[in-house]
Amino acid sequence: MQFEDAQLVARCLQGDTDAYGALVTRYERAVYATAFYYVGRHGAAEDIAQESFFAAYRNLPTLKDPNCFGRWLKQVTCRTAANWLRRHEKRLKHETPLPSRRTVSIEDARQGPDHGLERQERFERVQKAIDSLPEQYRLPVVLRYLQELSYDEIAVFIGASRDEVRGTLQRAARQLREVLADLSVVNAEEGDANWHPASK
Amino acid sequence: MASCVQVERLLQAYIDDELSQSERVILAQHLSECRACVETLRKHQRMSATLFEAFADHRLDRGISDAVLDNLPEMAHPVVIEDMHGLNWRAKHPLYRWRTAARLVPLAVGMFLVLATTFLAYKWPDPLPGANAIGVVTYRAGSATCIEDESTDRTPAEVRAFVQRGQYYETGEDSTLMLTLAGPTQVMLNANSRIGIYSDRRVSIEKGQIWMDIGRDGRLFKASTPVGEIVVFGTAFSVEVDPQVATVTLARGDIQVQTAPDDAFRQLKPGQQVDMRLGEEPSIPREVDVEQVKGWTSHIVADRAAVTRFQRVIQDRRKTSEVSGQMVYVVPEWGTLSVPVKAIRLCWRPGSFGPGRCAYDVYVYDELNDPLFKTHVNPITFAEAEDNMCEIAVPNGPISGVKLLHIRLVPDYRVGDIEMEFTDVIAVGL
Repeated sequence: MQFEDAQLVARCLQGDTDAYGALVTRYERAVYATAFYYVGRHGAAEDIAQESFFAAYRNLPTLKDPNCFGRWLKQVTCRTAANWLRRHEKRLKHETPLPSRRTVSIEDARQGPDHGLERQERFERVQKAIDSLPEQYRLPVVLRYLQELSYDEIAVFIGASRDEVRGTLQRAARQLREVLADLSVVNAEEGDANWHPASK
Repeated sequence: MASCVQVERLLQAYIDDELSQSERVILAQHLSECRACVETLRKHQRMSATLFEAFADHRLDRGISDAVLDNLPEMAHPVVIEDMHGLNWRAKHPLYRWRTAARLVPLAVGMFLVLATTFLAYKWPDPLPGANAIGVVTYRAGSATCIEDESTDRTPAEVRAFVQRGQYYETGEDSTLMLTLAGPTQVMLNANSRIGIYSDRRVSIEKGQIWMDIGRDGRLFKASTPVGEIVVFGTAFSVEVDPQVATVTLARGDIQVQTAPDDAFRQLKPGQQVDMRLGEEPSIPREVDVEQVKGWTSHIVADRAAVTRFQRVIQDRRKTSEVSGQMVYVVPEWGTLSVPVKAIRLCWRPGSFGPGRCAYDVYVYDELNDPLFKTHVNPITFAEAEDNMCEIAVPNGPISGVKLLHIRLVPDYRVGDIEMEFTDVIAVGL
């Protein structure tokens, strides 16, 4: 049986940590993606996601409308990420951007150093393309493509309607398509007409 | 048949598998017929694939709920929520908390008032010593006593003691006393003298020899004796009172003496002396040596501490007023009084507060300062007058043969404490 957010929040306030576990499971991907959107690296995003859940739990009694838990959690996450960035501002300024070890899989390593480098380069270009989008498009795009959230999940998390999310992603996709046109050429030859709907 | 523009809006949702059944059918139908849209769809797919692929390495691949639950912090203010409805209601009414605070406002105001009252009750300054005093005893030699108005108790008149309204001061054999009244007025009593202090501008000389130096603070000073009254306009003079005769000597300034009960009056010039007897006109003034008359006062020196006290307590709170016993000199309009004068006309400023509230004594002198007549204007005369003027008839018939009239208007404070604002005083001929 699926509980509503409000019911889970009420049970959390009565001391039921399992209910909070359910909320964490429900929102961890969205929170992680939001954190990633801000800091752009895996490890830090995971730390921020955990910190956000801690902060949310600590301040849960201040939540006024339990039905808006998702939206509130997004604000908590944004604040936590902003604090993290402020805290690490000095360190980040002097840090040389290195490809993370995690991005180089064993398979890539076997294929030689250039292959991994190419993937890293592609990721950076995608990041730049997303950064070129209007600000209100960026977070939904990251939520969708990083963690594959459904439109409904995105809508609950950012506090918009499902149709708004759909329109946003449609317009963002059209812009991204133009920005990333040359990048997509790499894959243009393979599997031409074999299109089929993506299924979850 | 949907247009290509409409179909393009569905493409991304189609790739994300977020289309409704009907939209999917419409799209499939369109794509089967439109190669351009198929191409567009392919581009969308490529773009999506690129994005998914680029993010694949950064995806969260394991849940963090265990890590979170293992390290959960304490909740800030654990509350037990009884009903979700109430919580929602409070969320929609953010001013709810202030309502609780608003209920405490009357209580807080009440407590504040109680505290403020208590504080003020403790901190309110005590009335100054001598708050109602009008003077200070500044010198004493020998035995002098002070008698309260309504008692027969005699207390020694101590230097620096305050002088109150209604007190009598008496000096014994070989003793002198000096009082300083607000004004400042100095009253010196020689041996065997007695004076009553009604106020700082009205005293009663009952017996003995008294020297007075009246301060010019703009208010009329009156000294009464058993045989008559002395009206003072700022001056220094000596009075020596026997039961039958009062001898008044003027050192400087300007006074007017008036004997009881017939109100015969006379004006004195500096250096003149006059005798007043009951039922008689004041005697013709004679020139005397004032220094000799006031010789007995020469050894009186005011006590320094008493003077300081007088200045600090009495004199500071007096504000000099502008009004005074007025003296008006009247020259008839036609130069000399060729026609007999039948009345005196008083004109005053419209809207004065005086009519109905104050009274005046009118003293009339001729050009040689010899008294002609005296009359009294009562409040009703002022109140019933029209056009802000009234005429006072000459009591014993018209006056003729005078070149000039000196008319002196003296306010009568027994009736009212305010004064008229006279604009003109005119003699009216027959």
